[in-house]
Amino acid sequence: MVKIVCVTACPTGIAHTYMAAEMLEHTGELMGIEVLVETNGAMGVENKLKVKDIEEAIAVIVAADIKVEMKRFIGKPLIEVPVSDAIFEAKALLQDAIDGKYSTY
Amino acid sequence: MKRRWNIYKNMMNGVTYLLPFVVAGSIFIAFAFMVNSTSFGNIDFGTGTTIQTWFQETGAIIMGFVLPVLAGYISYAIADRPGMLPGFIAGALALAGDSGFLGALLGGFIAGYVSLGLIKLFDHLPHSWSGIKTIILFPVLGILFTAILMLGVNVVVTPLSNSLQTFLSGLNGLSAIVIGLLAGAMMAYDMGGPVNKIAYLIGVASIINGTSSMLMASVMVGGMTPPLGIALATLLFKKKFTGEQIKLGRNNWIMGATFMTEGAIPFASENPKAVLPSIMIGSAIAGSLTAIFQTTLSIPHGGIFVIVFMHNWWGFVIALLSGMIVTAFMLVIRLTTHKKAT
Repeated sequence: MVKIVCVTACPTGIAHTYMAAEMLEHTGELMGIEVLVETNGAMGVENKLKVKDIEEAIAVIVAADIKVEMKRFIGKPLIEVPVSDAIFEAKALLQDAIDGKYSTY
Repeated sequence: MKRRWNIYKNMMNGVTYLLPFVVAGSIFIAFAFMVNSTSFGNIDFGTGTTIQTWFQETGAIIMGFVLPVLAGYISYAIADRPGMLPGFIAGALALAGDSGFLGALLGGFIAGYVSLGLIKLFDHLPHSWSGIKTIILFPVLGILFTAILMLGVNVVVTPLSNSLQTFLSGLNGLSAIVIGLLAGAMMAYDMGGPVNKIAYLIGVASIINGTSSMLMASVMVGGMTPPLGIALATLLFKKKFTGEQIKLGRNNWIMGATFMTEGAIPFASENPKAVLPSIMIGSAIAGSLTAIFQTTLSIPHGGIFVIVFMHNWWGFVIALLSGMIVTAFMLVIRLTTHKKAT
């Protein structure tokens, strides 16, 4: 199964972060792909992405309005978007990832 | 666009770490006023007692961290670890030099770009120097240049910051009502997005000295009205909503009560033409009503849990309920005229 890893983060860290994560996971399920989401909320980093998962992923989606740890994604196809995009346009984001539309970070 | 987005992102990185400090600090200070208040049980409860002083002083110490944390984490977002220390110092200098929120904001960016410049400048130093670089050169030179620039910031920004502060916390009468109306609409406009955050930050800037302001009350009621209004609509008019939405509506009671405007998002994304105007008008009405009732607030987050700390808290309750009712009824009308359009 195709695997995509994501990071979500928002300023307050209590709502957007988790809504975006839920949306991405849920949409991925409907599309039949494996979506792993790390949330950087007010609780700190939860569901931290494993090195192995990042390696196996075909693309990285970073939906964050604040700084997140980026160095680990060097060399991966990656897109950075506002966190609200992951809530409103999760499907398009994932579809573009599958179609290989993202440039290498 | 990309550039503007990055500036927003760096700024929000400061705000995300600043928030808990402002919330905790202002609640401690509010406690001090509470135990000092004559209206508390109608006796001169705790006037000038050690408890009051203790809350006041602890609160002031917490608030003292606000500007350094803001600038420190903005700088950290720009330049990573080398940026952190100069950023914190820039914030502390803004605090000491009275240039306040604006000064610290600017200081964070200055420290960040100074650090970034230093990183570039020493990039070609031999690897054996990297220890010296991170432990001595970056901190000392970073602070040196940042501090020199902050002298200028404090001179230029302090009068500006002071007049902004006086303007924001001193808003009253018609101007407070108009600004409250605008703030409410902005809070609802993108439910936690950039426009919402700008309104919110201006509200926070008005209380950062530990004072309370009408604007903060307008901002909070404007942020609470959308999810609560929607929750009310799903409760009263079950036929207009799907089963899933009614379930989401129940969540919205909690989201709204705790000042999380984001609860309205799933509804807005489903049918923006019906939802957005309804919640913006509801919030605008609520935001102007708190100003009419002269409700003031000194705490930047917490929703219904901080109502007890408000001055004229009943005004807040009336405004919130009115906003909810307006939102709910408008939503139902708009849902009938604007059938699901995406």
